[in-house]
Amino acid sequence: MSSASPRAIPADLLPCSDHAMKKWVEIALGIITGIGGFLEVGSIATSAQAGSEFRYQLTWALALGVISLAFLMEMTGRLAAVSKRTYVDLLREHFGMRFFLVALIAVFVVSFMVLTAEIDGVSTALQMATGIAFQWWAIPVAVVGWLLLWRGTFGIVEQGTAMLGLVAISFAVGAVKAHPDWGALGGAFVPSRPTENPARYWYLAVSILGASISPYLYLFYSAGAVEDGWDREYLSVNRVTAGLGNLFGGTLALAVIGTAALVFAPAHVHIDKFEQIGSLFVSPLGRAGFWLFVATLCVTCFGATLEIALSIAYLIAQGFGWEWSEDLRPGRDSRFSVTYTISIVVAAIPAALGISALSLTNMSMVLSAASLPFTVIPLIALMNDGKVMGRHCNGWISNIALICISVLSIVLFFVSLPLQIKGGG
Amino acid sequence: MEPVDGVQLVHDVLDGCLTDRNGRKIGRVDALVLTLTDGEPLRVSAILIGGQVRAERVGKWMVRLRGAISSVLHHDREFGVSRVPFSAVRGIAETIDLDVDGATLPSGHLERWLGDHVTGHIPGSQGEKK
Amino acid sequence: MSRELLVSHLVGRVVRDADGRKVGRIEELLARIELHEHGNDYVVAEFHVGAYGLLEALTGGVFAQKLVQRFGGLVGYRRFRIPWEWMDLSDPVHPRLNHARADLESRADE
Repeated sequence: MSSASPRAIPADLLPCSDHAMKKWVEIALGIITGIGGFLEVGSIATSAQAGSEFRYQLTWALALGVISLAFLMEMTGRLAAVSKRTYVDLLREHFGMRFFLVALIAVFVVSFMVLTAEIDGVSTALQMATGIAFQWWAIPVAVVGWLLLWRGTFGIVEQGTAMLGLVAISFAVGAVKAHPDWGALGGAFVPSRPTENPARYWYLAVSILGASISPYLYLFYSAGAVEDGWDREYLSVNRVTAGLGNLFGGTLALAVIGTAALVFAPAHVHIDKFEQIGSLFVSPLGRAGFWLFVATLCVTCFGATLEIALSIAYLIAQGFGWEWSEDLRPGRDSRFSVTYTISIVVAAIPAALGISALSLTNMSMVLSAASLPFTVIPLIALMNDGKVMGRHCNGWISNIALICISVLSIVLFFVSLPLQIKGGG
Repeated sequence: MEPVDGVQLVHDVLDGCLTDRNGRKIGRVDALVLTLTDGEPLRVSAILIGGQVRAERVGKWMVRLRGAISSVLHHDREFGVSRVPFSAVRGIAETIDLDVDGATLPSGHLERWLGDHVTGHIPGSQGEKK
Repeated sequence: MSRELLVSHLVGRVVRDADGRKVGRIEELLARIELHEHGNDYVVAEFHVGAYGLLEALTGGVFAQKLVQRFGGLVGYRRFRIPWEWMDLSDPVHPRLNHARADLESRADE
């Protein structure tokens, strides 16, 4: 999923100078961004596969991923608002060049793979809509994406695609109309052991976690907070955005699991192509369900494409101290703008060569999970550093959550590759 | 821990983000030069940015790699390294503000080259976005 | 006679006391402004040396050190603030104190 980042609104541009009203508007925008920006190729693919192969059983993995992401986004947002620096800035400043390079390589490789999958996702959606093979769409998608980054501002990129991504709410409508077994769905929030094919079950669990907790999400969120000029006044906005935005967005991924459990699982459909997922909402929503799915896939993957390309550029520019901002004209931060340009163009090549979206997506989600320790564990030091956070250091709840997420990230690091080999078929 | 009065060179300066007198980011503090004179305290004399100095922070393998790339491009060992006297530091906070023009520093050569030869030729690179 | 060295060449070096006993590793250099008629200079006033106790073997890297420092005394970590005049840098690779370790106890951060 892509991340939420409410746009800071200058008080003098609002008709009402009421401070509370301003905050509510920003919270609403943040939640919309979370809803419209949550789904992308990874969450759609992994949720559909999970629902079709294991019905509701992997709901707990999605819930764990959403809660973990909410905590990580809240922390990196708070870090940016209090310190006025991004998480990448502080990673480099506090841990030095060597550690930063290790984290850079891990996050870059994974983010780039996810970027290729997102472009593939948009191209596949356009293939489903037009009948023209997805390979032909890859380069045009990359060019349009690049144009938006080159000419657009941070606000246009973030909120424009998030607003369009609200079409994803159709998934929730479709899921309700499919009449899921609410009892079974509720019970699936508690982890359970698989009754068959354990390697595949745990592989999908790791994939869902990787799709939910991709490092680019909270790195982008932290950069967005600095782009938007957040300060300590935005701490409450940050908390609500990170929490509610991801909660509502996660509900949409849950809708995919639930509907796949009802539509695909009884027919024992094994999803090995994206096009198969297109029929997911036809049963509850009729023919409109297909078009709503295509529109959602197209828009949400496109939004994620822009975010990830920017995230890669933020990572490198911030780490090396280059001038950076999506709001600057590209000629003023040439290294930053050339970085996202090269990223988005090169990432289009696998799709242009015909490499399947689904296999690329699954692998990138698993590697995303494996890369987590490098960006999660340093937060333990930073979020408890009084010089960085002042009186806004982590409380005991956040620290317990962070330690649990850190332990989870270490487990994922060790199990990802073996599971990719055993269960990724 | 007791509060510190003074500047912590590792925590506050090394790897800190540098801005020039125009407020533009120009890199990070890759090294700090100290002058050692017998009987006197160490004097913080200069900031080094970029090039071989940054490679040394990573390790010997990066130094060798950079050396190989430099020889292919016919650059000498000191190419791209900026040495800024510490007296040019105007403030140390979220960024380290220098009283220099970043456009003249050797470490900014890639930014300038890309601006002149790549982004400068693409429409839309010079207009205002807001 | 003056010579130059880099901060990164000092950080992480093991510091020994006048008796040759290990004190810890240089973690930080605290600089203060020194005013004089030709201008102001920053000079190193203190060296902060950290001792990791039982976790010494695990904390060779900055990443591990940062994590351990957060938990401070719980894991036996101590930090000493050593004035510049106590530090002998005639061999920067092997910095030595011109005092015994016992003199440091009053200079430990809790």
